[in-house]
Amino acid sequence: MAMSRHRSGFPEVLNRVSLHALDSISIHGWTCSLCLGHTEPDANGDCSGSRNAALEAAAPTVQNQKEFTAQPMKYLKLAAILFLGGGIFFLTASTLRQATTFYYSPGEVLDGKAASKANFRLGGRVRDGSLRRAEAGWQFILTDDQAEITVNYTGELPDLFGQGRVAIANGSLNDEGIFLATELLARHDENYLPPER
Amino acid sequence: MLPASSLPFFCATHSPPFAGSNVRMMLTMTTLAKGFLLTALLLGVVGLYLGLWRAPASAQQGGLYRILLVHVPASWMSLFLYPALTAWAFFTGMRLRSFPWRTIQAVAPTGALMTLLSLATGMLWGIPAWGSAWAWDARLTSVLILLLLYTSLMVLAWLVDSSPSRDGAGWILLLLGTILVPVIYFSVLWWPGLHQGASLSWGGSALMHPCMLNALLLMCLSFFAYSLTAILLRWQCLATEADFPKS
Repeated sequence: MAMSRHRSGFPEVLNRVSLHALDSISIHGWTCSLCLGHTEPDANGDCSGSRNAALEAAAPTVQNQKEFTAQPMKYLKLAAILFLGGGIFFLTASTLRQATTFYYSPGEVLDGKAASKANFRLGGRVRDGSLRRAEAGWQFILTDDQAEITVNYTGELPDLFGQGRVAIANGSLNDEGIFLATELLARHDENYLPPER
Repeated sequence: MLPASSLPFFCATHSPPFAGSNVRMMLTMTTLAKGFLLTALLLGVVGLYLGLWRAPASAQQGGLYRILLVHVPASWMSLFLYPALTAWAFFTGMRLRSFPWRTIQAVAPTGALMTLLSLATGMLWGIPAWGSAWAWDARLTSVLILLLLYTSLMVLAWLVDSSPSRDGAGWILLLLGTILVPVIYFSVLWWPGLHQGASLSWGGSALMHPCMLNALLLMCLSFFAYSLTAILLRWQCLATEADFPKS
C-alpha cells in the first residue's frame, strides 16, 4: 500500500518537540499516543484500533505529530547514520593528521620519516650565504635550525625566494644525501609589515 | 496595489496584483536590501581607498599583498555563510516540516561566489608570491571541497526533481559543509603547508600596518553587507515568483 508522506526527509523525531500540537489534542488523545502504534483515538475515544488503521489515518495529514511512535526504526536509522558518520569523520581526521604532511623538515627527512616516499617535499629556511650557482641551476641549503640538507634546483627561482626565508622544494633525495628539486615554492608568513625605516 | 517599480528589477515576474501583509514585508526587504547595498558600497570604497592608497607596501611582497583586501573578506564570507545557511535551513525546516529549498536557493549562490572569489584571488596571489597558482595543501584542498559542496547544493536545488532522497542529500550536504568549515579554519594550524597563517583571528591579527588592518576590517564588513543584499534580493525574488508564477 502506498502512503505518501509530505514531511519529506525532515527527522520525524523533532516532531515530538513541537508544542502547537498539544492545544489541538485532548488529554485522552495525548495519552493514546503513548501507546506504540496508535496515533489518534477513534470516534469512540477508543485507543485499541489496529495499527494499520491508525497509520492510514495519520498518513495524508501534515498536522499529525505522533508519527515517531509509529516509525521508531526511522529514528534509529538516523541515529545509526549520525554515529557512523561521526566515527568515519574522526577516523579520517586522525589518519589524515598523521599521514598527510605537505612537507617534511630537514630534521624529519634525516630521521627517515620520508623514507617511504620516492618523491616528497622538503621545507625549511634557506640558510644565509648558502645560495650559489650550480651546474644546471642553483644550489642552496635548507635548514630547520637542527638539521640541514643541500638542495640542487634546476629552474627559475620564485620572486619571493630569498636567503633567510622559507622555501618548499619538491623532489627526491639522491644517494649522496643531496636533494634534487624539480619544483620550488616560496612560502611566506602572515607578516605584511612595511620595511623598517 | 504595489507599484512594480518597487520590486527588485531583476525579478522574473510580471507586475503582481498582490495585497495584504506581504506587501509590507516585501517593501521592508527591498528597503533593507537597498540599505545594505549602500553600506556595502560605502564601506568598500573607503576600505579600498585606505588599503590601496594610504597603507604602505610590505617588506616581503611589496604591493602584491594588497590582494588580501579581496581575498580575506571573500574567504571569511564563504566560511561564514555555510553554517549560517545550515542554521537558517534548520529552523525554517522545523517550521515548514520539509526541506527549505528556497533558503538554499537564496544563500548558496552567494556562498559559491565568495568561495570562487577566494580561490581565484588566491591563485592570482600565489603565482607571483609562491611561484605556483595551486598546491594540494590542506587549506586549498578543503576550500575546493567547500566550493563543490556549495555547487552541489545549487545543482540539487535547481536541477534535481523534488523527492525524499533529494531532501536527504540536502541535509547531508549541509551537515558535511558545517563540519568542514572549522576544519578549513584550523587547517593552517593542524597541517602546516604552503598557505600562510590566519590574517584575522580572535587572538589577534597578522602583523600589518594599522591602516591596512582597518582597511581589511572595512572590506570584511562591506562583503558581509553585500552578501546580505544579495541574499535578501534573491529570497525576495524567489518568494514573489513562487506566489505569483508567470502565466
